[in-house]
Order: sequence, then C-alpha cells, then structure tokens
Amino acid sequence: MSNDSEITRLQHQITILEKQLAQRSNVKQILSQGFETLSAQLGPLQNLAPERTLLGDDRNARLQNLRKALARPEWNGAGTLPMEEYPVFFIGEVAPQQVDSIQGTLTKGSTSP
Amino acid sequence: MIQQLVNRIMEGGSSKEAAALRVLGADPFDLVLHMEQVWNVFDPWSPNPPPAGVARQNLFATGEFNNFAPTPGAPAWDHLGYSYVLENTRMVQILRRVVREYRSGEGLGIPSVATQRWLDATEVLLFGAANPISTWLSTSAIRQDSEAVRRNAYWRLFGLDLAFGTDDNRPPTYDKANAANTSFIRLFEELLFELWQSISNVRNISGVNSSDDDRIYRIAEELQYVLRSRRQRQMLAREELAAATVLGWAELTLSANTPVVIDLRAEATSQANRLRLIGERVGLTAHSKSAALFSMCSDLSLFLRIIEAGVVTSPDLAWVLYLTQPPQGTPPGAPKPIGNESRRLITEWAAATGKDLKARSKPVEINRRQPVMR
Repeated sequence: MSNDSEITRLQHQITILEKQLAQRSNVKQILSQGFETLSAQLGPLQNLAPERTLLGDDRNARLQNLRKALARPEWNGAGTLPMEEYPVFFIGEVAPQQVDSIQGTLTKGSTSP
Repeated sequence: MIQQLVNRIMEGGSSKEAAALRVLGADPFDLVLHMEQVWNVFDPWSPNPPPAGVARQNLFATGEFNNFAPTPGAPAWDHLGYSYVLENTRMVQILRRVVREYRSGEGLGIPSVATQRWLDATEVLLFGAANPISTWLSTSAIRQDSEAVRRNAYWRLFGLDLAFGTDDNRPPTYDKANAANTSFIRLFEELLFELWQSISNVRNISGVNSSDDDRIYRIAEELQYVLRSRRQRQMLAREELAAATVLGWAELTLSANTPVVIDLRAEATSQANRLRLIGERVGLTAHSKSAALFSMCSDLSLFLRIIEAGVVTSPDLAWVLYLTQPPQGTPPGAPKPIGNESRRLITEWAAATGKDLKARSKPVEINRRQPVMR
C-alpha cells in the first residue's frame, strides 16, 4: 500500500513539474515572439534617413565630369615595376654589319657613303 | 596630369604597371606634346579661340600619347591643392639633388638605361632643360625658377607658403602678390569641421544632431567665391597645369619601386618611405608627415574642384560633400557624392597639421543683441 501511495505522490509531483516546465517554455516563447515582432516593427527605422533634394541633371553631369577627369590608378601596395633591360655595349665594341649585305641599297662595286 | 595619363592608357587595355613604365620611359618631347594637347582640349578661353594654332595642333597629333587625349570639359589635371600638399613633402627638392648627383658624378652609382631616360624627362619637366615647346612651363627670362612660380601660385590661391625654404635652407624669394586668398585656410578648416559633424551624424535619427547643412553651404559658397576670385578668365590655370605635371611626375616616380627607385636602393612599401630613403641618400630630409600628405593629395584635388565648380548651390545639396552614396531616388548610374574623400581629407589634414578638426577650437560667438534705439 505504501508503495502505491508513494508512486501516486511521485506521479503527482511529475505532473506538477511538467506543468511548470510547459509554462516556462510558454514564457520563453512569448518573450522571443514578442521581441521578434518588435524587431520587425522597428526594422524600417534602420533605413530611415532624412529626405534629400536630388541633384539635377546639370549638377550630376558636373560631378561626373570632374570625377572622370581626375580618375587615377590606385598605388597602395604597389611593388616593383619590372623593366627588361639588355646589356649596353661600349663604344666600338660592336661593328655594324657590312653595308654590302644590305639588299637593295647598294650595287656591287659602288662606294659606301 | 601624369596620373590621369596613366589612367587613360590603362583604359586602353594596358596594365597599371605597363602604363606607368610607358610614361616614365617616354621621350620627354612626347610628354611635352601631350601636355600641350591636354591644355588645348581643356580650351581655357572657350568660347574664344583655343590656345593652340594649326601648326601646334598638327605637331602634338604626331606624339606618342595623341590617342590618349582626355575628354573636353573639366581640366584633366589636378587642382593646385594637390601640388601644394605634395610639394610640402619636399619631393621636388630631393629629386633635384638626385638629378644633380647623377649628372655630376657617380656618387649614386651607375644609372640604368631606364633611369637615364627618367633623368632626361625629369630635367625637362621639372627643371626646365632645353624644351622645344617651353611655353607650357610657365617660366621665362622674367620668372626663371619654376619653384618660385609655384610658390607664387600657392600664395595667391591659398595664402600659404611651403613648410620649408630653399634647397640650402635659405628663406625663399618669390614675387608675393598683394591679391592673395589669406582667408582660405580659416574657411577650409571650418568647412572640414562642419563636414565632420555631418559625417558623424549621418545615421543619427533620434539623438542630438550637431550637423548643419546651412552652415556647410555658406562656408562652401564663401570658399568658392574666394577661389574663383583668383581664377577670373582662367588666371593661374597654366601655372596649375605646370605644377600638377611636375608634382605628378614626382609622385608617379615614387608610386612603386620604379627603375630609379631601385637604382637608388630605396625600395619600400609606400611612397613616403621611398621618399625618406632617397632623401637620406642625397642628404635632404623629407617632411615628417609625408605619409599624410601623399594620402590626401588626390582627395584634396577632387574636393577643391567640386567646391570651385559650384556643385553645392543650396543647403539642400550640402550632402554632396559628406554622403558616401547618392540618396534614395537618385537615378541609377549617377556619380557618387564625395563623402569618402571628405572623410579621408579630414583625417589626413588633421594628421599633417596637428590640428584637431573634430573639435571646435573655440565656441561660436553669439553677440548680445543691442537695442536699435534707446
């Protein structure tokens, strides 16, 4: 008998705890839903900005023209500019090829200029 | 002028590096011809006849950069403010010593072929060596020193002198005009202060807001009047082009590890560091705030051009100077306002001058209203 009564008491306690747990999750649900609703309602405020007068076509063209005229490359972080360079000869170190070998400029037997 | 030429060559399909090397290795005659072309395309005295006659137009059509002419309209060179801040780094005087050392001995080593080409162009562009078309240089027997011509222009347009004297630290001598914009710097710094208030309040929709579009407009308008008063009938335009060419050439030289930078063993990761190393090699110290000066030069140029152009014509349009994106409702493809440039300018101007532009130096004076009649 005592065992049955103990089981009944424990079952009753479990029921109470389950109810409490259900209530707690409800509160959590209500809170989170409430914040989500509030956040959604306030969302448009992020994009709220004072109404501005727009530039007319003439002012837009001036701004565009000035920006374009002064456009320049970005040099931040630029490294080495590779420049290919060949060895330079000393004076007289290399003779030009024989003028006779140049086709169509001199005829055989003529003197070079 | 020079950086814009590099940009136009890039638009033709070249890489940035190839375009820069093409300009740095160019025949100085081609560069001079192109400058004449840029000046003529701008057509300073329009609707009066353009500056170049038939012979000169035919001549610059034969130049290497003829196909890279800018579009007509706005001048395709930087504002004099660009030249002023860059010249304050002392880069021209330092490069002058480099040229002198290379031309008079071998103390800096044997220059590469590319550096010898650079020396040829630098002597023509910066130091007025025999130039087949010398008119653009804005120097003559009457005003021989190009640095003195630039100092004169800085004084007239900004009421400012450079932060240093001559190459050998003597006081500079130049013609100091009576008509000078001595109020420029006060207005300019006041405008930067007001712009900072607006930049820091762009997203503020509920708190105390210290931005004041009306005041921005009024200062910008006053600044426009001041600058335009020295620009009537395109006065100072040619001097501005010559200065922008000189300083643009020097800036491009230091923009990367170019052949002359390599020959001088001054490889570094920034323009300011390259200049500092070259300065140490030739015994002339660069400005300690060179990094800030390099960083803001192009932003200052655009900022002053837009002020002078009169884009902001009412308090309602003051946002052009501090927003980073066009406002809602702007048609697609419209140009961006210059908020990013203004912000960079405020930061670097404060760094270069040591002034805190984000705090008002003194409270606004409000005079007690006097009774009209007793």
